[in-house]
Amino acid sequence: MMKNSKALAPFGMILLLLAGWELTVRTKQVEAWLLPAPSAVYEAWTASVDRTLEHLGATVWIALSGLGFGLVSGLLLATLFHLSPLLRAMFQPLVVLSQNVPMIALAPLLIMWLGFGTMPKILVVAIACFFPIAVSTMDGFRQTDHTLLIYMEMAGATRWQRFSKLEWPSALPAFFSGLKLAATYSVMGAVIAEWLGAKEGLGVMMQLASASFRTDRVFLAMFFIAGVSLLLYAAICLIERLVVRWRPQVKGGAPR
Amino acid sequence: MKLEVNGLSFAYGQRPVIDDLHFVVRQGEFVSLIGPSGSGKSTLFYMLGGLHCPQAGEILLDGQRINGERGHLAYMPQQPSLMPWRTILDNVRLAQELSGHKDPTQLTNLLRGAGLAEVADRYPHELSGGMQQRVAFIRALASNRDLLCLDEPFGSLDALTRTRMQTWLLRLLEQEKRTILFITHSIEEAILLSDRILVLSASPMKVIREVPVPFARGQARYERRGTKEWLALQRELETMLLG
Repeated sequence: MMKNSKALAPFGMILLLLAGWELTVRTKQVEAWLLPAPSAVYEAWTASVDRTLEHLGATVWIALSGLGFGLVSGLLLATLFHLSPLLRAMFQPLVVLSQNVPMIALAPLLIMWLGFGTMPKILVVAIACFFPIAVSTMDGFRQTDHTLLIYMEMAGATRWQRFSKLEWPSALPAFFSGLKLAATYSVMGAVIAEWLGAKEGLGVMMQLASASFRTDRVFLAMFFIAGVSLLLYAAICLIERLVVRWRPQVKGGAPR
Repeated sequence: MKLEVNGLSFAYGQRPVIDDLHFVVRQGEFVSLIGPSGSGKSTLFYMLGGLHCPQAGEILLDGQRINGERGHLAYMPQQPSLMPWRTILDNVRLAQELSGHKDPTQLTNLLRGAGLAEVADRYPHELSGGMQQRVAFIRALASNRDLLCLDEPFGSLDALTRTRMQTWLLRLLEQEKRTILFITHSIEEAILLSDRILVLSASPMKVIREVPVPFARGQARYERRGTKEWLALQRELETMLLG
């Protein structure tokens, strides 16, 4: 009973918010171009299902492939940096620097260099995604249990055995924290990249809609962005739970 | 199997930890190292295991110099050292993976002999501290090294569990003949388990005395606790450590 009510709580809360929103807009007679009611947003959806789905598909594709590239490069970087302190000393400043360049400045440059195709947008997303994955995975490697490290060395483990059998599995929870951050960045990154120059995608849809005061379509795009982010996040949580099964399940409301 | 430590010396920076240490462990012996805390016993184990290189002297295993070489011995620390993401069976198997010989029947036999067959598929956090240390000991056995170095394996257990573990170990060692080097703080534990006790001094660590234990080895020794000879030996060791 308790468990069910806890699982339903977020949905109940969202429904409550939507109902309050609808009611306020109707009773206060707010202009639709200022703040459309949820029902108006739903109408905008039914009026343009096909077109919206195309935009959605384009954005999801960019976000997912960017996240994929970011995942591979982030993991590779974390592993290389961990295994070679020299490489880390050489390249770490550059990696941090890559995050200091604002995406707003970087995206037009990449589009200038690589054209209006999907590649520059995927790159923008990958640049935003690899960093949290690399940083948290490296932290995970470093936080490997000292007693276990000593055991492995006393047992005569090779450097590779130490990495693959000890450091990598113990970094998994940290890796997943980074991946969750990256997943939320990925959708945002895709939308911003599209905003700065694309033919389709939720970013383009928002830009066009706000230019013509179609606030209902702006909100529609926002709902989809939030929905995709949530779904991605949930999918990663699910994968994490399947992969990191050894952790003791904490009962009650304590944080995991 | 014969372990010889000849004139071993080691210092952390300017502070000498071990100075001119000599001792021998022969095949099948159970030798305890007992001494004040911080006297460098764990450092000695790290040297035997090849983690530290001695500044002087040599470590000979069957006449072969193994200074700074890893993977010659099985090791078990005081803290729980099982991998939380591996089941009990997989944790024990780790020892075989690292030493490069795969023998699934030995694994099941070891687990059964130790009374751990029922928990083979559990994860370490589902087991009590005492059970986890049993698994760690079985893992040390599974690595098939002749020499087992146990660093206060029962040190973090409560008194009752500790006593249970000692009798369990005595029984198990009757089936599995191994050579054991054992660090402990407990005089009673040392008398109960070992053939010989090396009494050590602190900073720098040296062997003060080598004391043979005059009771027959095995479970029967447990019954000798509290006898006159036992208490006399215990007092003798205590005096040495305090003096």
